[in-house]
Amino acid sequence: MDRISSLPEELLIHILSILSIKEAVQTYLVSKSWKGALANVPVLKFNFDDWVDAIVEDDAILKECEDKFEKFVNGVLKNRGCEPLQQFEYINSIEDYHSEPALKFLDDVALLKPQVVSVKICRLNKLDLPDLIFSCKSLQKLELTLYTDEEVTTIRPKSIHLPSLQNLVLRGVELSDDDNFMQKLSSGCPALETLYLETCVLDISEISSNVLKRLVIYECDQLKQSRISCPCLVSLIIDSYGKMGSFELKNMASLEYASISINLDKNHSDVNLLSSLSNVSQLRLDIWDDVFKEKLEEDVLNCRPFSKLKSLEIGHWGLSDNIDLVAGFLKNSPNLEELSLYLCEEISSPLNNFGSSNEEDDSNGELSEQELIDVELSEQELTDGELSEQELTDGELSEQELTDGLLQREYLKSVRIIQPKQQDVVVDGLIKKLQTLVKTIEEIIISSW
Amino acid sequence: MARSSTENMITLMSSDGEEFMVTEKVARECTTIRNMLEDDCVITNIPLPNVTSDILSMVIEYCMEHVAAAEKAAAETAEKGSSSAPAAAKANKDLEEWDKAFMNVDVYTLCDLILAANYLNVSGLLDLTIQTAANLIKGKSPEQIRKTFHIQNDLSLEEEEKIRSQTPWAFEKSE
Repeated sequence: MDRISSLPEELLIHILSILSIKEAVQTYLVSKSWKGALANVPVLKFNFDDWVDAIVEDDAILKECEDKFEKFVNGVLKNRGCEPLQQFEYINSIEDYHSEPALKFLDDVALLKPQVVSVKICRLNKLDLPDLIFSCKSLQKLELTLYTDEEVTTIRPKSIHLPSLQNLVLRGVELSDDDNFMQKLSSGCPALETLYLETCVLDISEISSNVLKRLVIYECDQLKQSRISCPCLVSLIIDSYGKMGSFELKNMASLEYASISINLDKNHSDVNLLSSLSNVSQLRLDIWDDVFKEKLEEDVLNCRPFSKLKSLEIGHWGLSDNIDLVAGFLKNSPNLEELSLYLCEEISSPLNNFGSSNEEDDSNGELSEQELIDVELSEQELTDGELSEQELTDGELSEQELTDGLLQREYLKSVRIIQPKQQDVVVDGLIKKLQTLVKTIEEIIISSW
Repeated sequence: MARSSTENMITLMSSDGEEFMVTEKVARECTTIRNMLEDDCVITNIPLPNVTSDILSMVIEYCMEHVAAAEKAAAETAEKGSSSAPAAAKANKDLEEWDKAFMNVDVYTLCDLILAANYLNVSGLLDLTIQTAANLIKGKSPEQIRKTFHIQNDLSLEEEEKIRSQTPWAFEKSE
C-alpha cells in the first residue's frame, strides 16, 4: 500500500479536516481508506455561499445551485460513518434570495450524535423545524438563527429532551406560551447553563429554570410581561432598546452580574427591578428613557441594600447633573468601590431639579452659564444645610433625606467618567456634585470613548 | 551545534542504528522525548525504533532551526528591552520561508515526516506537514490526487461506478 493511504485514520482525518468539505469529498473515489476517513471527519461545515459563483442575481440559477447544495448536504450526511460528529454548521443565507429550503436534513444530523449544531437561514417565509434535533442526547450546544421577512418562525417541538444541552442560542424566532416552549425547555434540559435570545419575539410569561447560569435577552420584542425565575443565575443581560415591556425578576439569589437596558413601558412601571438585583457585585444600567430612570430613582431608595455591590456602571447618562440615582446607590451600597458613568452624545432627559424650564431647547446638551451657576448655588445650599421649606418640598425626592444619608459616605475608590467628546462643563458639574456626596474619592478618571 | 559545553547532550538512535547527538533543548522540541526526560532525568540515550535515520535527521534539522529562531528572538528582546515589531515580523517571515523550503520534499518523505512528527509529537512540524498534504489535495480530481500521492486504486471499476452512482452530488461540477 502507498504511504499516504497507510497513515493512521486519525492523520488522514486531520488532513481532510483542513480542506473544505466540498474539496474533501473528491477523496471518496481515491481509495477505500480515504473514503472511510472522510466519513468520519469531526467537523462538517456547509455554506451555500460556496456553491454560488461571484454575484448571481438570477433566482432560477440560484435555485439550481441550491438544489445541488441540498443534495450535497444530504449526500454527505447519508455517507457519514459512525464516529460522533463534533460540529455541524449549515449556513443558507444569500441576500435577496428567497426559497423554501427543507430542513429535513436536521433529522439526519440529529442521528449522527452531534455535539454542536448551528443553523443559519435567512428567508422570506417562516420555516418548519423538524422535531428530532430537540431530542438529541449528545447535543451540547444548539444555535438556531432563522431570520424571516414576513412571518416569524415559531419554535414548537412536540417535546424537548436534550439531557446534555448546555448552551442554547436562538435568533429571529418566536417563543410562545401556547406551545409551552419554556416549560418544555426547563424540564427537558437539565444541564442548560446558557440561554441567549436575540431578536426573538417573546410571547412568554415566564423563563424559569433551576440550572440556568447565564441569560442574555438582546433586542427582543416582548409581547407580555415576563417573570424570570432562575435561582442559579449568575449573569443576566437584558439589552433591548425599545419594544420591551418589562421583566419581573424572582429568585435571583446567585446573581453576580447584571446589565439592564430597557425602554420601560409606563404600564409596567410597577415592577420592582432593583430589589431583585440586590445580590449582584457588578451592575450596569443603561438609561435610555425617563420612565426607566425615574423608576430606578424611586426603587433605589426603597430596595434592600446592595451589600455585595463593588462596581456600578451607568450607561447613556443623559448629560444631566441630577445624580439622584447615583446618590441612592452611594447610600445603599456600603461596599461600592468603582463608579463609572458613560455620558451620551445627545441629551436624553431634561435636567430636572436644576436650571430653568427652557433647557429642553438646549439641543447641544451643554449646560449654559446660567445653569452652571444654578448648579453651584444649589450645591452651596446643600452643603451649607440652609435649605428653605420651598426647596425641601420641591424635588421628587427630599433633598434633606438625600443629604442626610449621603454625607455618611466616607470613601469611594474610583470614579470614571467616560465621554464621547469634550464636555468639561458637564463633567466638572458631575464631579462637584459627587464630591458633595462622598468625602474621599481616591481617584477620578476622565476618559473619552 | 552545542554553544556551551555545560549544555546536556542527548543521543537519539534511529531505527537503522544511526546515532544523533543533540542538545537537550533541541530534543525537548519533541514532546514525546520531553516527557521521557521528565520521567527519568538521567536518560541520555534514546532509541527511536519508529524513525529511520534520514527522517530523524530532518526532524532534528527542523527542531534546531526553530530553537535557534526562538533563541535569537529572545536574545533580541533581552538586548533592547523589547523586540521591535518589524524585526519580529521579519524573523517570522524568514522562518516561514525556511519552513516552505523545508517542505520541498517528495510525497513519500512527506508522509514519513507526518508519521514521525506524530510519533515524536512535534506539533509545529505536524501542522506544517499536514497542511502541506492538504494543499496537495486541494482543487484536484480523484485521479489527480491518486497520481500526486502515487496511490494505488484499490477500488474495482464496479466499486468506483457504484460510488459514482451513489454520490453524484459529490462529483458534479457546480458551474
